[in-house]
Formats: sequence, structure tokens, C-alpha cells
Amino acid sequence: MLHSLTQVVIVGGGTAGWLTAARIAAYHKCQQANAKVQVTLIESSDVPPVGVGEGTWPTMRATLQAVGISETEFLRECDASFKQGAKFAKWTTGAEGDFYYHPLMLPQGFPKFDLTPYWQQANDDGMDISYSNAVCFQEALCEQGLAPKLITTAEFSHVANYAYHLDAGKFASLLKKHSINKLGVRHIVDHVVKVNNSVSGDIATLTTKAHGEIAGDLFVDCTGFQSLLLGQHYQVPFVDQSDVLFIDNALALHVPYQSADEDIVSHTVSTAQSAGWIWDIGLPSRRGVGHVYSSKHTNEQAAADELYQYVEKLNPAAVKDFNYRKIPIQSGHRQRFWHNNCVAVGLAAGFLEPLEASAIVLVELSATMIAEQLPHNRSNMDIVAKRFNQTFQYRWARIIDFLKLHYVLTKRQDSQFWRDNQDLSSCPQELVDLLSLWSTRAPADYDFTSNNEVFPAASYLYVLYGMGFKTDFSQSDYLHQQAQQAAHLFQRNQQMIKQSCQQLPKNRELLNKIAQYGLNKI
Amino acid sequence: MIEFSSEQTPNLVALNPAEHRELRLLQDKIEQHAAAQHLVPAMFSEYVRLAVCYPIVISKNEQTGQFATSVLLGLEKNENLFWQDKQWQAVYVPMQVRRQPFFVGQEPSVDEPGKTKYVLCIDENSPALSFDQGEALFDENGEQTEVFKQSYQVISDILKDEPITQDFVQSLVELDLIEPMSLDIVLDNQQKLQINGLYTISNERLSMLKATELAMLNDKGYLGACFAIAHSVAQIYALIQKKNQSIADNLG
Repeated sequence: MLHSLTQVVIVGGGTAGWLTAARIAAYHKCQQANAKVQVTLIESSDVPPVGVGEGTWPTMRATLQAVGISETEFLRECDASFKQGAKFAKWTTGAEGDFYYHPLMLPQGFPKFDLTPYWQQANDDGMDISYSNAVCFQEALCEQGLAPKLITTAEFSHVANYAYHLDAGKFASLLKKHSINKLGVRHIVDHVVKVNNSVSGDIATLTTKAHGEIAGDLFVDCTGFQSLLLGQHYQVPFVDQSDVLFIDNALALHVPYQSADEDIVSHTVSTAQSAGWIWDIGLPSRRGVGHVYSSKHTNEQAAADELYQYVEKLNPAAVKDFNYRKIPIQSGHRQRFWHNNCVAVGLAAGFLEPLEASAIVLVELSATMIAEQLPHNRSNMDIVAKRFNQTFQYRWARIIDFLKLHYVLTKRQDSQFWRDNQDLSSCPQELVDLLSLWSTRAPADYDFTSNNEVFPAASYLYVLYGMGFKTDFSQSDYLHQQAQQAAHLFQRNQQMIKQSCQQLPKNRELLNKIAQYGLNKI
Repeated sequence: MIEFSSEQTPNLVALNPAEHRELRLLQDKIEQHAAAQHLVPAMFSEYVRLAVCYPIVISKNEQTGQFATSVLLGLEKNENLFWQDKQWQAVYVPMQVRRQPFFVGQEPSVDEPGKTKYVLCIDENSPALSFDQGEALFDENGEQTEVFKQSYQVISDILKDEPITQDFVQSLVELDLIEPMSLDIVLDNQQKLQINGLYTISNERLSMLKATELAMLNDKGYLGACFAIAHSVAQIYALIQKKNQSIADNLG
């Protein structure tokens, strides 16, 4: 980069492409006349991808603010709803009524005071309350279909912490409109037919069908599963993770509501099946439902039958027209994500089953790091690339650990899929070690010390104790003698459940009001 | 902690000259309607007069989340410190109090299907209405009396004022002039009050407006109103004094 203007060329116009374009362009003030960075996005067609319902993390609120999209506009245009965590049904025993929550708020007192040993003691003594219900007020809100805020709460502020469910196709369209009109992103609709290297091995230009050669300093590969630049051009190997995470197929469809005033569920519902699980994501206009399964443990027909039964329970009328889309998936990621002057974001970098909504958050994290650490010259790019690769290798590994945790803790014996998942040889060593430590103490912040962590200790607490994991605290009894303070925190949580359930409106009611009146910025 | 926001759920009955012909108005009871209201809506045309007596604040409607201007009458829910000894103690009384016990309702129009029209309503439980005392609303011929016409004038003024008030508030939102105001008050008796949910016009943002924005506000006649509201916040000190006085009086 000897010239003063840095050219960032993004290939691919899905959620990953437009989110990355928006984040870089907003950060580098590309709409200004004297901008030092120019962002160009090339997409092969103007047709937005068909969106299945998708979940985000609460990080999306900061991302929307960073790119300058109002929450009201986002909710209205993306058919978006509020998400307060995930409910995992039938993951532990498979019985009716077997479920636990992974909410989006820290346990009461955490991390200063860990209620876990006191909760376990109380349960051993016969008190029958789930971990998340004992330490967090959000499960109660979810169970009652309540919203995480009020119509008087400002945009992006909350009463209970939240993320979103959204239509990914509509989200990409909104980001595209915003990036082009407000953020100064250059948009080219064309097919990339050839990738041209310079002598150094960097990508110099992309040859397009109608726009000739497009030159750039940094190329961002957002081409989805085809991984055009990183995978096909640079042949960076794919690290297969299917020996850890067995899911390799998805069957997805939209399910209409039975009536216009049916609850919009404010959490992702994930219901375990015989060889996989079904996601259920409530958007204002419809549900997005899908079955991800392992083809080594079941076949498409059997998986479709389970999906049919699930949909029939949601809405008997919906199965009259039972058509799903089959999406083959491969769990894993590229060995490196940034190679020479090319970095992959989104599906081009890798894919994991949507159990903890890690897809969009990885795009946000990647886009943020590229935007904030965009190198000012070519020699620094190799250093940034190395750091980017270390960061994201760590993040993908931790996400894989956390996803596997949901499987390895199951007590289900009803199918080979669940029995295979309990085999510790399918478990990454890092996770095996942690589970060993947690057999005599609870997860804590000091187990997760990198500043690149994705899941905090609290997430591990919710999954472990939600799934009936037993920690033997007997060796550390003397450390847990503050029963009075624990009782106070448990009581406080019950008060917060009562108060928030009285105060908060139904999720659908709030979304209807936002459609009508909008939320204020303050 | 007290969360303040405006709420209004009037119970309306359409005024029917045939049915309500004998109705009488007790003018000295009109202001009693707001005896237990800590917020009363403020209309655009009266901001300057209100600012002489009350803090004009901005709060969110609980049902819609939308901003509206009000006068702050008390420091706790249902407290009106201007209502003392069964009288309104201020030189200027807000229009939304003086219009009592009349309301404007909307009903589907018979002439133009799909549209609504305004109808004059009364609060049948109003302490200011009676069948045997007070001033008649209609004379022996069923014609409107001067008393009725006066009340009707306030209502029609409010109706004219409504769209301007809304447009004014909308301008404040669009120009990002509204900022939250958190009040931490320690009373003479050391009682602490924290009031949230109130907003005002930011002096800082006002001073940073661009020339074109200032000109827009000025052209619409909104600039004076902005300053009237921003400055009226100082009336909160007078309100705290009233609160302290009322506590002292009750002890005495």
C-alpha cells in the first residue's frame, strides 16, 4: 500500500459481506470526502438470499449502534424480535418436561459471589428449583412470553438483557441499503471470474464479467460455503470437526402462526431429537424451524418425520403444505482465516451448528477486528494476519468446546447418536480437562482468562447445572459458609421474578407497539 | 425510586343536550380534578405562562413510549403541591385542568365512513357537575349559556393546540434536543427522593444547533418555547421548597 487510499474489496453480499462492509466503512468514516479507506462490495446478483430465522447475541446491539442503524428501523425492517436466551428441551433425559435455560444475564451475585454450591446443597436437601430459575429472573420472563423491555425503554437499553431473532435475508438488505446510502460503500453487481495474483503471491485484482479488473489492498472473502478466495484460490485447508460435532445436515422451513395474536416466543427453543435437534425461532410474522441431524445416525426420511411431528404440534394447519429446504453442512473451519492479503468472514471461514447462535457473532467479531486493526501498510498486514489467526483459532476452538458441552453431559441412552456423544474420545482435550476440574469445583472466571473469550463462565454454569451435572463440593465446604448471603440473593431473585413479570408486556404486544410508535433514542 | 411518566385514562360519556340539559357546573370544583395529579399535560400555546409557575418537563406516555410535555406538580406519585386548602395556589392554571370536566372524544363519523369526528364528552363522576347546584350549562330554551361557552372555548383551544404541540415535540426529537433528567433530592427532614423518567431540553444541545436548525425552529415559532422549557427546570427548586413547607405544615 504505497498509495494513500486503502482499498478494501469484499466479495459476497450476504449477512457476512454487508455486515463487514458496514462495520469497516462506519469505523473508517468512508462517507467523508477525504476518507482514507474505500470499501467496495462485489456481489453476484441483487437477489437477497432466502433467510431462515436466525439468532444473534446481545453484541448485535452494539454492532447496530456502531454502524448507525436505529433499533426501531432494524426491528421493523428485518422482521426481528427480541431473544432472551435459549431453552434446551429434552437434552438431558429426553423425558417430557426435561428442559433448562441458558439466559443472557449473569447469575445473582456472580462473579463476586457464586451461588452454585448453595443451590446444589439446597437441591440435595429437597428444594426443587432449576439452576437458572434459582439464580436468574430471565427464565420466568421467557416462560411467560414477556418482552425484555417496555415501550418507554430507550432504544438498545433493557430491563432484561437481550439479543435478536431476525430474518437474515432482510437483515442483509437493510445493511446493504444503509451501507450504500449512508456509509459510502461502493457496490458492484457482477460475477468474479478470475483471481489474479501479483508476484508476491498477494491478490492484486479480481477479474469481473462486466466491470473488468477490480484492484484492492485487502480482499475479504464473504462468498459463503464456496470460500472462493481463501479456500478455492489459496487452498487453505478445511479443518473438519465432524468427529466432535456430528451434525451434517439441516432441514429448514417457515411455519406460520395459528393466529395473529399468538405469543412470539422471546427465546430460541432447541428440542433434542433422536439424532439431532430442532431449532424454533419466533419472528413477528412467522416461525423459522429446522432439524439439524447426523446422517451417520439417521436418514433424511426419519429426520423429516420428526420435523413433521414437531411442526404439527406448533400448527396442525402448517403440515398440509410440508416442504422443507435441505442444507448439507460441514462442521469445521479453515486452518487459517487470514492468508496474505485475504481474510475470510462468515461461512467462507467455517460453519458450526446453530446451537448457540455463533455464526453472526463470529462475523461481528471478525468485522470489528478487521475494522479496528486494519493495517496501514503491507508489512504490518502479516503481523495483523498472524494475530487475527491466533485470535480466531482460539475462538473457534472455545465455541466447539462449548457446543460439545451440551452433548457430552446428556444422560440419554435411547439412540446411538446420544451414546456416541457421551464418549469422551469425541471430546476436545481442553473440555475434558475442564470437566475434570469442575467435578470438584464450579466454573469460574479464572477458567476463561483470554480477552478473546466468547462464552463467559456464567454460560458454562447454566449449561452444566441445567443438565444436572454434579460437582462434589465436599472438599471445599469451608469455603461456602455464607448461607445467609446466599439466602438473601435467592430471595432477591424471586422478588425480581415477581416484579419483572408484573412490569413487562408480552413480547408480541411490545413488538406491535414498536411497529406503530417506534422506540425513542433516549 | 419513583418512575414518572404521564398517564391518562379518562372515562368518557358523550355530552347529550337532551339528557344533560339540567346539568350544572360548580366552577370552584373544576381544579379539584387535578388534586392528586403529579403531572398535567402542557400545551404549546401556554408554555411561557406555565414556565412562570411550574417546571415544564418531558415524559414518555406509558402506552406509546412517545414524548409529551407536562407540568410537574409534585415530587411523588399522585402528589399535587399546588393544591392546598382545597384551592389551586398559582396565578396560572394549565388549560388541561381548566377544561375539566369536559373532554374531547372521537367517534366514527356517520357522514364520512372510515373517518372519525370529535365529540364533546363529560366526566359523569366529576365533582364539578351537579343537577341542583352551580351554573346552568343550557338555558330554558336548551341554548348554551355563557358558562358553557367559556368551557367550550378552552376545549377548542386545546384541540387547535394539540397538533402544534405534537409537531413541536417531534421537532425536539428530530433535533436530539431532549435529554434525561435524574433528580436526587434530599428534603429538610433528610428524606431522600430519587425521580427518574423525566426529560428536559438540553441547553448544551440548544447551543450547538446549526444555523439552519435554529432558523427552522425560529420560523416555526418554536425557539422561545425551547428556552421557556429549558429555563423552567429551575422551578423544581420552588417545588422542593413547597414540599418541605408542606411537610413542616403537616407536622405543625
